[in-house]
Amino acid sequence: MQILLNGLVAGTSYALVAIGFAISFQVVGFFDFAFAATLTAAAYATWSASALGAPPIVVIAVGPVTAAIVGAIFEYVVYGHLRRRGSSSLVLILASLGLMIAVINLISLAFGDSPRNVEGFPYGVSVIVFTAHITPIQIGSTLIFILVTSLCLWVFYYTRWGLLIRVVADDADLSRSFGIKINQKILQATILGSAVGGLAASLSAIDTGLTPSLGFNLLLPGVVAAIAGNRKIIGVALCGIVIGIIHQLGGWWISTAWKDTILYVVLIIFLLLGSRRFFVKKLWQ
Amino acid sequence: MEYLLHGLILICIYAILAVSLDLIAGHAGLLSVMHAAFFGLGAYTSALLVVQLRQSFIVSMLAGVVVVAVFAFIISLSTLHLRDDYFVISTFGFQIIIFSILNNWMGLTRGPLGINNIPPPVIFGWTVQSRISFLLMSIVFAVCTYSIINRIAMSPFGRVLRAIREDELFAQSVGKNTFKAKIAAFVVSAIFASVAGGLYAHYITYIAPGSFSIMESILVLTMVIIGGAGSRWGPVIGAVVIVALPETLRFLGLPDSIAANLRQIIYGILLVVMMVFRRHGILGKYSFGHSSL
Repeated sequence: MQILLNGLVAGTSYALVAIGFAISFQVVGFFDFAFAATLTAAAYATWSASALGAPPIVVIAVGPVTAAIVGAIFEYVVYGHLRRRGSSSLVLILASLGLMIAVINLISLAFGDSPRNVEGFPYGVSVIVFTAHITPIQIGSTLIFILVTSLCLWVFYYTRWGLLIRVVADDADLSRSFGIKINQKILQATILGSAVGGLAASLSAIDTGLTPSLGFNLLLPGVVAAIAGNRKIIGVALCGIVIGIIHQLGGWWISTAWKDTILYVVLIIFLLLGSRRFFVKKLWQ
Repeated sequence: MEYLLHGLILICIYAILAVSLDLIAGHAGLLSVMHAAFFGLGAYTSALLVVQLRQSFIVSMLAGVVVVAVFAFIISLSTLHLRDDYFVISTFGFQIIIFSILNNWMGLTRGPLGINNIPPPVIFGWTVQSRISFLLMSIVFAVCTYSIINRIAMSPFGRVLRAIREDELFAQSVGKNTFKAKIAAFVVSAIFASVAGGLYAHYITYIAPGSFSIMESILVLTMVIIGGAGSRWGPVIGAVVIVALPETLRFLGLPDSIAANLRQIIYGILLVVMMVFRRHGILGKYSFGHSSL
């Protein structure tokens, strides 16, 4: 039961990262490795706010705000420029790899590689739910996950802005011909996606601490949840949770040392199956 | 002088890596970020056979080639039907899986402790002990690799790879078995990465998983991009630039901890700058395609 609960909580982080990634991916159209740098920046902004003695609500809020700013800078300065020059997704992927390496190492240079903990939250206490222990931080993370997922669903399926984003994601050329400002919508979607991912990174940093590899460790499960969920918010959220559970169960059944290896094997399977479905869907469109 | 020889040996090893990666990335347009995984598998196979089973250098290198060829073949069957982004992500995932195996299989690889006391190569009774003799051997391997890869690239098979890069569907429509061609190129590329791995293991005499991580793969890819993908000398130039760069940082007298991060930052910025300003690299003719957006 404890393993399952741990998996559910970890899964909410992966699911939020996946939702953030999926929001941005469906309009930008390439795998943005620099999303890992965005998540890491959010986590360290959270830590910095706590180190400066900010109240908990500010500590949590700083993460998504930082992520939104970093994501916007990447989009405006690098990706938007490359896209306007007609660059393919491979060029954008290479640029994102460069950004990921540069920014994560910059953060490592500034803060060091030692694990850090976010202060000012109720650590060391837990409540018992069906014989399993859960901390107030984990309860809070889960509630925030439910709230943010519901909000994203509402934004994307019940607002005009969400409709425009889906239209741009579906057919950018047609959208442009109807006067929709594509670059503006891409930037807005990137900001929202980065903010959601940044929130996940902040909550993960508060729960389990942080190192410069936090963004990277959250990104890959999030990316595959996004693929497996076919970039639909509900699907992505559910896949994120399933991946979180598999991650924890894998460590319990076999060994914690192999936890990540098992996860990545499962991720490859999801990736290969998910991409087949994606490509089949593309053929039919 | 010893330091210069050390630099030249590393340039030869990384040139082998860059030239072999260029066969699939530059000529076939398959952006693989798992080259360090094959590098590592070759290094570990060679090191384990020499240290634990007392095999000769030649046998251990050949075994490394066979092991990596088998891995590359199996991986290629699942990944090579994927396109563009999905291929990159799948190679990314496999790189991490192989790194995790090297890092966690304590019984075989000793995990993070690595394998030490790897003896110098012995080839037909000649012990390659000194740096100058290792450099001569590395040059021979590098020249052979360059010649073979260049011959492949200039052959009709190489033209098929470039046709795949430009328009795979068209290549299929004229009767080319593009899937087989990609598998062949992928396996050949991996084989030479394993050769580089064997050389590296016997030169450094100690290997650990950290030397074969995703960052190493991206580093080799950066060499190809900077030098010029799909060109004759581009990957070699890229290897020279990237290996020489840390040495220029030494003149600044920075502590090692800062220099390591700074090096990575410079590599990352170089990659972004090349994509923005000079996509085809220093000597390349091919720049990764254009979209209709």
